[in-house]
Amino acid sequence: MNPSRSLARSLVKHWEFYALLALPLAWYVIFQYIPMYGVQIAFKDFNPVKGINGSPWVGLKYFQEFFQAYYFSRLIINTLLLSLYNIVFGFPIPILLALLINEIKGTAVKKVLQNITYVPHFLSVVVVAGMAYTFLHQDTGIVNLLLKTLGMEPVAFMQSPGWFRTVFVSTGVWQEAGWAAIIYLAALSGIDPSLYEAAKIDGASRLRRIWHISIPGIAPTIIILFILRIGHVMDIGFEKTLLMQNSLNAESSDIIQTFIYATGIQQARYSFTGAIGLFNSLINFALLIVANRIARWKSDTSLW
Amino acid sequence: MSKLSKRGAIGLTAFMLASTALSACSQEQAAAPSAKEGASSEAKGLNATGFPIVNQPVSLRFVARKNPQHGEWKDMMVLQEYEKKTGIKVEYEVYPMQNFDERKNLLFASNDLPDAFINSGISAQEQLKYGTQGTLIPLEGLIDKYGPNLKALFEKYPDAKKTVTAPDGHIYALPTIVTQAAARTQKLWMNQQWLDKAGLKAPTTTDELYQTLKKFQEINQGTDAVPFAIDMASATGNMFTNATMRGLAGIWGLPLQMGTSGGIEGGKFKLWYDSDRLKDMLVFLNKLYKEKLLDNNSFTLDIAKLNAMTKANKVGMTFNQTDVGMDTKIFKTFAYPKSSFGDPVANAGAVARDLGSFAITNKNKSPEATMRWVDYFYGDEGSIFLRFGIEGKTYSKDADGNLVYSDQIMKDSRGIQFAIGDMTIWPGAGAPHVINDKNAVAVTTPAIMEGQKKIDAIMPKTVYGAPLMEPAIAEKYSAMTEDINKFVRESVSKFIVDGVADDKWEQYKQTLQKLGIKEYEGFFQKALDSYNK
Repeated sequence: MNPSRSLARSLVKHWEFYALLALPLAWYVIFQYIPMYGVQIAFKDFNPVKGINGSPWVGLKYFQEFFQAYYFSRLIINTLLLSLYNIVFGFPIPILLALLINEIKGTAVKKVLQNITYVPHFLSVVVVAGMAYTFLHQDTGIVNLLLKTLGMEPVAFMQSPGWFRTVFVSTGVWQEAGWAAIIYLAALSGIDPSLYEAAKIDGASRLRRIWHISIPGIAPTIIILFILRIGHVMDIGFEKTLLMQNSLNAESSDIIQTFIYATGIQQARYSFTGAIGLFNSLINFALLIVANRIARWKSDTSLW
Repeated sequence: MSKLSKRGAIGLTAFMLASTALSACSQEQAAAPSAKEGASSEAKGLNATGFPIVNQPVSLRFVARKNPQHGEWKDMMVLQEYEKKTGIKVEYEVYPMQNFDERKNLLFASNDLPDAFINSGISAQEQLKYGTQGTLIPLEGLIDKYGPNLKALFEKYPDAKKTVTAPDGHIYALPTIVTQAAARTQKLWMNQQWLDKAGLKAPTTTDELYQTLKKFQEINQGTDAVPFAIDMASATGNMFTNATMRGLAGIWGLPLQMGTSGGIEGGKFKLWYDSDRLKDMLVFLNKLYKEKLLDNNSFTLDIAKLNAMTKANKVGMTFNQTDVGMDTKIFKTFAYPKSSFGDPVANAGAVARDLGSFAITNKNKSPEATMRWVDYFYGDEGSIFLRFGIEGKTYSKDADGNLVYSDQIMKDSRGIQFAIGDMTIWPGAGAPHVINDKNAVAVTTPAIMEGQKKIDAIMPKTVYGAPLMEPAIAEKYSAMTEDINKFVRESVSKFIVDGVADDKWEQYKQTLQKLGIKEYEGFFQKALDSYNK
């Protein structure tokens, strides 16, 4: 049968489904694909008066400028290190938290714990950064007061490059771990209870049951979420970084996004920052593909 | 959150640009011919002098920056009265200070332009960029014909005119013009109460200053008061343009010319980022930091927090242009102490301050009327109207003929600046007008005038503002400015905290060379040469 005719026939027959599909499709096209047209400013000397089409092409000029910039290596290293720490600490903790909550027997305790851990997710990052400043204040912050009573030297947490990543990642874990655990909890509740019962009868300890039933049960979820996370490696919480940044910790807190903000939005150098943004996205894209390949190669789960 | 930021990176700009660029092309074609038509038909209804400015009502759209001190612009008495007076109806599109720069850039990028920008802080680079593109129209011709007050000011203060003139000879935006010396300098305020308690006189050298701060620390043992604090979190861009840093640089005789960290001697411009004076200053600050004479939270301290500390009498010394929010019974002004190099300098702002306070776009169909509208504020009568409102209603004259705000404003519980900000636009700086000895008395209190007298002698005669760079080097200049400012800011911060080791200082100087400091200096030299031609 002619494929185009069969498509037409299926369109007529199932038009309700296609009508339903049309809206999300239109959303993707209008808000995700059409704007990509603007990516070309990275290769042009963008001038608002001439418009995107009228601006002259300059090839890779802005990419070169970025690669040769004084701060290039620092930006890349900071961005990669911060995202690495974010993944190393930020990714497994929600899994552990979900396993922990899952093991709790009393429903009341379980609910309370779950609520307490996910409520911080709803706080604005501005509030979280403000809390970090208040609690870690060198003279009046509760953490330093505690250190002082223990006879230790107070630490300038917010003003030292060495502490920036620790503070950034730990506040991130505090804020997001409970929320991220929800999806694992959902996956855990999907595991057949009879598996646990059988293991119990066979005399498996609690840790054994977690290791041999819970973790394999949610492994596909973990892998998919990990791949998705890899796709955003270079996108660290920009707002929080900016809020926590100052001239003393800039050595480790200056990342690609804050650089883009300072140069692109504040200095209106759109083409230059367009190039940096595109470079950033390309790295994300490449990492996503690599992670997916590895996942497909090592296990049966992958995005595509 | 991460998704959002990704879109923020390229998506935001790309999307805004893409969606608006399509419509921009068609708008532009439509606007160009009508602007010419408008001009000629406009000229008929325009009165060359006096009020109203126009015989038939004209409507304009202005984009404005709302300073924190401001109330709602549409409810401001002065603007409403001015509308009646001029016959020009202005619709104000107001954005708060925090995100005004972003908004402004997006308006330019999307070509969604108002008729004019007011209180807008359009930077030198932006003026040049959008001026040469034709988005902002040249104003010098309009000033000649329709701006008698500005013309007179520019004749009297040629360096102000030089500062706002682009290398191509055009003026693309108007500044705030400050002819009053006291409004241009940072006064050194010290806590007289603490001085008395410590039994000390005002320090005359930096060594004495150190001893004074040390004493301040002793007498405040066990409290959260600090001898000295710098609002480093507010010292963005070139950190030495911050009030406190500006004052400190002045003590070490480090001038601020052409809006940056450099001085002019015999027609030569020289940056002092690698000078021994700066090194000496940093050694001094490091000593203060180590002994906690300088608040160790300075790097997360912003101007609002510093002002709150001053207000609460919790700091021993501060630099400030005014005494707003300060108890002048406690804080007194003093002459700058001398460093081992001698010759301190009172780093004054340029006469042309707050560049880009007002600019007219190519969308404006009545540029003549708009120029007349704004020029009024650069004269005595108009600037008094802008700053004080209406006699008998919001201000009156005292026995000496000085202008005083009404009791209702003076006694406002939120503070006088906020009360004034409800009726007019000047509080918080950036409004296009002239600030002179006649119209600034109410805010330039006797305490400020006294402070000015103490530093009058060390104030430079000519102060140039940040120059407008030639288009050919503008982009490079702006990229270098960003890199150098950032590097200096971070290095200076580290020197203050960790000390100035000789090898670190050498390394710092070498990196400055690598960043092209000589070439950068040359940009300013070139601009200076063009002034002196």
